[in-house]
Amino acid sequence: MVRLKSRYVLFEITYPSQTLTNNDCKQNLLLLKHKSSPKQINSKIIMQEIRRSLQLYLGDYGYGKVNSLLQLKYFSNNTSTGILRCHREDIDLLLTALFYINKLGDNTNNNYIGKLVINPIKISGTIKKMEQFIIKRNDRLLKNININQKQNDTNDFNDLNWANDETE
Amino acid sequence: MLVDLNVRWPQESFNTPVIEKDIAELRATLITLHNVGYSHVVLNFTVKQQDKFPSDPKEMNPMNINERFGQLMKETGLKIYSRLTLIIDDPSKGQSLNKISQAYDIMAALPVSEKGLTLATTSLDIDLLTFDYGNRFPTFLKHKNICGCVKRGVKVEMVYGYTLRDLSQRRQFVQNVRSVIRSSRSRGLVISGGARNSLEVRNILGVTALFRTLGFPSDKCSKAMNDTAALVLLNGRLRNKSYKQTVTVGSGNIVHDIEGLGNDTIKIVKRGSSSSANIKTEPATKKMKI
Repeated sequence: MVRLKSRYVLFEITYPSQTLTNNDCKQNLLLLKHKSSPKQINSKIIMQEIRRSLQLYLGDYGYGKVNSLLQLKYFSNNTSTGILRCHREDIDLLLTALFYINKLGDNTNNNYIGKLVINPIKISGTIKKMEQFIIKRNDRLLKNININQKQNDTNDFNDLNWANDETE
Repeated sequence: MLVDLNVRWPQESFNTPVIEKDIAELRATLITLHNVGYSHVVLNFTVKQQDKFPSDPKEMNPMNINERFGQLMKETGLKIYSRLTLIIDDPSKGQSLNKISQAYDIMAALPVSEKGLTLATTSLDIDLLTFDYGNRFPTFLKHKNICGCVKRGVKVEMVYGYTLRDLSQRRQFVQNVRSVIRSSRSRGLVISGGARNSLEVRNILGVTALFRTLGFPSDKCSKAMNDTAALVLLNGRLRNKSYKQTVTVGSGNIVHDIEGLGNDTIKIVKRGSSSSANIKTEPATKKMKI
């Protein structure tokens, strides 16, 4: 009996800014990339949106195929990163569904958040390796931020509390 | 090294001026591209072939990349290049490309008629062939046409930006990409973004997954955004900055070191007794088989 093989996807929700003046570029570019998510976003809303995207762009076939083993393992609002699990063969379909997502929630429940992009960052076969990768990634990020901070002390780093939040 | 060969320059023709708001949007797009890992970005200015090109060499390229984005390039380390795309409808109305191609790093053609396609694939002096993926192609693509074009050294571009816009464009995109992949037998293809704003930027994992579901071989997916795209960039720049794409001035490995090319600071001195060591000629291998 062969065991069930799955893939884990680390994704990050990004909120790219629409316009930037020349002065904005002088500020810390890392802060433009990593923003924490608003409180309305939770794992239920994310799963709803992924299922909606699967249904809309890949049809009944894609929805059924991917949904057989789709799971949100982890999501943190502070880092706006999360881990999804799916079957090994369906990874492309899942990534395609993530590719098309540009909003979360809907208007009727007053939790609509638009203008976002979901970036897959890493795909792994085991959740253990994924966690190791995330820890390494966060370390690297913190180091970069510290370097930037030394260079540019005038910047406001109030938003950076999330960076201390370790992964589970 | 990740290359995006297509970021829309916010101008429709040579006559309309650039608005500062559009530049701010473009700047946000460029920062987003940098954040998802791109290192070389090409701004794409699309014009109709019939429009008269300006005769003044200074007006030929309205981008002023160094002036507008010099700061951004310094902060991020992003490299920004320019590209001109000609929409080719009726080949008889064409103008000479010799002069205008000096002002841009890459020249591309976008045929919208059958005659235009024949011209672009056979004789036009371009680096890149692209299509309007949001609309129906003018003609059924034949393997002979596209492969002949690829053999000549011209790469074919696939733009994923169209798939993020609306329903009909998305459908047409799938159909058109399938037909390009079929007719080129997945040789010499390049994937680029065509982003109009920062929300149309996706990272490499998402894009490769999309193209794999559309039937593009997975080993060529990342190559289409790295090596092949870099080759287009190199090819276009060698057109202006080398003698018949074989000999150029500079040092180091020109093929992989795209930055090394185009520094106009190299001074060519007549070989004398004292300063003879400054000049080096490097053979640039243009035709790498991919």
